[in-house]
Amino acid sequence: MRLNPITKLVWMFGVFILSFILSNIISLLLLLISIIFMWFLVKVSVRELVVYLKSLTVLAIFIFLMHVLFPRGYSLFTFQWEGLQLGILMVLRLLVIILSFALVATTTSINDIATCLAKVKLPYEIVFAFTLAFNLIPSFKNDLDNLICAQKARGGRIDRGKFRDRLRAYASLITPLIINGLRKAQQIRVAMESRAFGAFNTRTYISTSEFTRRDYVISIMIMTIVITIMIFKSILI
Amino acid sequence: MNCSKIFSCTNVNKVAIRFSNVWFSYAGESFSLKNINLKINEGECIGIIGPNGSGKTTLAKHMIGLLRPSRGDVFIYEMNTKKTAISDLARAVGYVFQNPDNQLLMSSVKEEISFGPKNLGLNNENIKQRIKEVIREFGLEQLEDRHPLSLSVGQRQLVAIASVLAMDPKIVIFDEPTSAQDFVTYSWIMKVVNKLREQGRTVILITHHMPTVAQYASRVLVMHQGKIVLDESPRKVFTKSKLGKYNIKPPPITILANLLSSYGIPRNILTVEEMCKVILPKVRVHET
Repeated sequence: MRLNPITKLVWMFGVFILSFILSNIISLLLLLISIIFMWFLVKVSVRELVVYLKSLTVLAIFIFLMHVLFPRGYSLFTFQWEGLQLGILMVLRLLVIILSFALVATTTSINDIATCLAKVKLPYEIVFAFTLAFNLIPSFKNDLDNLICAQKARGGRIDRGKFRDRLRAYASLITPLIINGLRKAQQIRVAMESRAFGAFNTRTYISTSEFTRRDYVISIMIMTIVITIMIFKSILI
Repeated sequence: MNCSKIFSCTNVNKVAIRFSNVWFSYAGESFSLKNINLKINEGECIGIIGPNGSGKTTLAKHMIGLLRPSRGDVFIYEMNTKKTAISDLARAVGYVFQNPDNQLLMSSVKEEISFGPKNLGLNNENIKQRIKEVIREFGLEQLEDRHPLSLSVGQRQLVAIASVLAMDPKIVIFDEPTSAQDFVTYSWIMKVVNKLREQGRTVILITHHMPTVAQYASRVLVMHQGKIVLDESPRKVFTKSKLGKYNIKPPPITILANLLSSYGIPRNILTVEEMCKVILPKVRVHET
């Protein structure tokens, strides 16, 4: 089932809103389970999910410990149930937000999102700059790797030695990275203009992203659920 | 003359680089080096040729420990690259990268050249002496205080090479040093290569420019799909009929010699000078 990127974004922001207004562990846990269920539903490899979870471990443990060790309104290092609860709540919130974002990011190509953004009448220049920035990240990473290689090949100890020395070694990479980046930007500008970028105000697209009835239904469902929960929350309080 | 004198005092049979059953794959990909066994003696000038993606750069990066074998071992002067830090290997091996912009990182040409020697822990007096020599050798006196990235493409490449040679490496790897260079820079670079050879250093030359290989290399490695498929002298390699199978074309002058073989021209001519030697007597006979 292919959903329109906008629908996915609606889902993502819906989850974001819910994760902030829900403030008890059970409901957040349910939300998290629903997201993990979605991961399996869209058949993204489990390995990718594990990679995300692994990279979050340190941060999650840090947040949890902060809340347990420094409970709000009490003296330091006194164990409080509220602190423990808040810690768990915050970790769940973190997982919900990151995993829902990651799910959208891994299942949607940046170009699809761009097409949709252009469709909702955002200026094409801005949309293009947005996609270009994303597409250039691997190229920057590549440049950075090459610079580090070159430094190592001349005996630079960028990955060993004192913290201060390493910091200085990394700092020396910034100038060449920026200069090369500017050079690349200039080349891309020329390449774009030579292929008539911005020649016409109206532009045609190869891939049309249709907002189908299914997208309408799902988007409205998500919005209804979120709004209902919001209303119930405010009535209960 | 000079050359033979230097060669006589270095041990020609000393092994500089040794690959033993080396396999390598980038994370999650298929093998880009397949069972490489290779011995390079000190003082050899090796040309590595092969189509893009055949594993030339991957092979070269193993020679300085930037990449380490997935299986097997690489030895640089009997130092196993798996057990030696790159900064130690860098004492013996210099690597000139394909793109100079990826290796220039300091804010002046002088600092750029001193970066390597400083990392080697030489004393100040020594470093100053070396920088001076290298700057003079490369004719960079006027550019000493310029920012390396503000120079022209050719100058940037020269600075990059100078900064590697300032470390006085016994083995120098050139990864496509002459691509995108004009004739002036090309001749400069090849002059440097020639000098390194005469000094008895080991030179590794990766290039797509066959006349360069024919003229300078003492031995040619042909790479194809991660394997070394030919390992012989340029004269033997460029007269092999199966070169086309590996998507390699011999130097134009060798092709010409081949076409003229029915007129008594030997097929294994490598350079224009050789061709002249063979063809001029025949032309003179014809004239008289």
